[in-house]
Amino acid sequence: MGEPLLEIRGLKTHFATDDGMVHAVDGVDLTVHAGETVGVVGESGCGKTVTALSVLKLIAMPPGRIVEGQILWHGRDLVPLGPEAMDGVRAKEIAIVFQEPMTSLNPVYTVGEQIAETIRRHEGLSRRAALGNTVDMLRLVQIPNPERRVHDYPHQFSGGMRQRVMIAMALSCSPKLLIADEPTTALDVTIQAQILELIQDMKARFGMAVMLITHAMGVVAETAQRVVVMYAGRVVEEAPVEQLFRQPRHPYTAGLIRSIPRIDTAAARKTRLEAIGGTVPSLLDPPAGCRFAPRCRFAMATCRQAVPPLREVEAGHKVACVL
Amino acid sequence: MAEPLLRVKDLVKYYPVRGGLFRRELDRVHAVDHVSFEVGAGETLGLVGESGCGKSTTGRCILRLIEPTSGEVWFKGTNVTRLDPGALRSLCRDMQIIFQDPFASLNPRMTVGSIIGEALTIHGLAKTRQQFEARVVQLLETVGLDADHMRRYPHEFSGGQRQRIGIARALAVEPRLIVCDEPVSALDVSIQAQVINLLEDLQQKLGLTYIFIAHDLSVVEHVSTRVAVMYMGRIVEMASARDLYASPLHPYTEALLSAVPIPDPKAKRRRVILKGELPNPIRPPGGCRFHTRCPIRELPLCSHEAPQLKEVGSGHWVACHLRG
Repeated sequence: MGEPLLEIRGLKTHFATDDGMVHAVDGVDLTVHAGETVGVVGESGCGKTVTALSVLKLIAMPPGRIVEGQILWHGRDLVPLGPEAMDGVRAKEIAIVFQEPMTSLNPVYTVGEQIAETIRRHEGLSRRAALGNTVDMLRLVQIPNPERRVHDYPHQFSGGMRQRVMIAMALSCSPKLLIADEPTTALDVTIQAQILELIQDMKARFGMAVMLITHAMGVVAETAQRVVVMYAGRVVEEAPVEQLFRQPRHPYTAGLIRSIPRIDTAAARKTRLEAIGGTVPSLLDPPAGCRFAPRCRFAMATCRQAVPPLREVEAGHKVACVL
Repeated sequence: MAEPLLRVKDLVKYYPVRGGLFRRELDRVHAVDHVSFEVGAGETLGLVGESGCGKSTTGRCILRLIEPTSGEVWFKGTNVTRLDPGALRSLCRDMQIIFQDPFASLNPRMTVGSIIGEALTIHGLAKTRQQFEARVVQLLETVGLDADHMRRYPHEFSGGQRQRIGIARALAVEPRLIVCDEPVSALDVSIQAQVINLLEDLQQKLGLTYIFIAHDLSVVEHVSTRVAVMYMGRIVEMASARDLYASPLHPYTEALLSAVPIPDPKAKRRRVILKGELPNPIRPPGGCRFHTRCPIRELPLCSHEAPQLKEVGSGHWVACHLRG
């Protein structure tokens, strides 16, 4: 494994609301090495998206604030950087693809103008050269008729095609890390398969690293090399993908894997799904100790007292659980 | 199968596309196009397909929440599509629906008790205030909520709990058939399993029949006895859940199944990645509607003649010239 490209240390991002401070991300450690795909999984509100947005400093501040921690990009901390310095990092170094291909494109500009804007801004090319690059990018993400489509508006594209446009835009400045935040959640399965394949192709072509944020265990299993599982603002487990699915150590990860119906094995025998009881705790006032303890079958008194630290139990396999 | 509880025959729903002067009808969206199937008492029929395939419209036409353009829906010997409003209302006691969005489907200004109990009042099922409250409490407990939740409002509940409220509301009138329209799609996986288990328990306990509409093939496989796959308003394949998943015949079903990510990194399989996207439903392709994306098509047969849904094995139906 290469040296760390991105290293997040003890990140805490909180949001001030009328009801109090929301601890959306509360002490996250996460590393991405050059050229690897890291899957970040967890349910809604676990802080996976806020972690990603914090890296690019796309959090609205206020109400949000990075309270603590470091985000090291090639060893340089991004947290204290101002807006101009961040401009040099965004797109050229780290790019992001969002979940909603409908809302993340500007409806009043053609897709060509939007991609070209990114290229001109970050690569300093002329309008004509940028347009040429844009057509090449659209061709690369397999949009048919790129010369014509470049002049179309977002509403003229389907959901899958819009996501291709977003990927083209993200890759237009050859970033070293692509953050894909639920890139296929809004899409149908057959289109999802196309987009995941496209991301894999592009990754191989550009040699970039990918941080794939998703709630779907299946997507992670098929694309990631390493998986980080988040729960209520914290990382609960991290492991190479085979190991995580073969031997999940954290009760939450194990529950998550067992609660999904399996299309490949279930045909033979129908078993009852193992649900995880209860609901995700409020992040306004997170429970003391392990945040999963109120829902955990194995919880003991010690679990409710102190937060279990993330420790390495095997090479590359870390878990935050006292058991 | 004995006499089916529900029989849908040649169900059609076209939506007019209006425009121009006097809002003339310019075109039609073929949302549901001659769909027929039967559902036996106590079974779960899964309806799967991608967005826009007509699965939700089919579900809603059965309850006449959407008026079908043509076709028949027979429920226990009554043609639902011919009923006058009064008769339709009493039929609502037998057929209920659970919606996808637990946020939009509950009135935010009503307490949970009045949401669940509204149907009791409408159908005159509770004579006194005590009876009403006792029944609401009983329903809340059936779906795993507490009696004191009755006086609270929907916004005080999480997505999973709201979906339980929606289920309790559907159960209030003791229906025979429940159309579950993407009941778990908006929920997180750990909560999804809770709701699926609840639906299965209720089916056993109350002898319910479900039409389970979802785009998630693994969920449908898990809950269904039989599954119908829809593509652009038509059923392309229908079989027992086991047959369909073990030996899919229609190339669309194959592609759909192979596209589902499996939560096991060691599972290696052949993936059929479909080229292209859904054609425009206003001008669906002639012949087999799947021929524009089909990996095994044979032209000109597939583009000229629409394949009929034919029974090829016991209870296994497929609409394909080449695999039929």
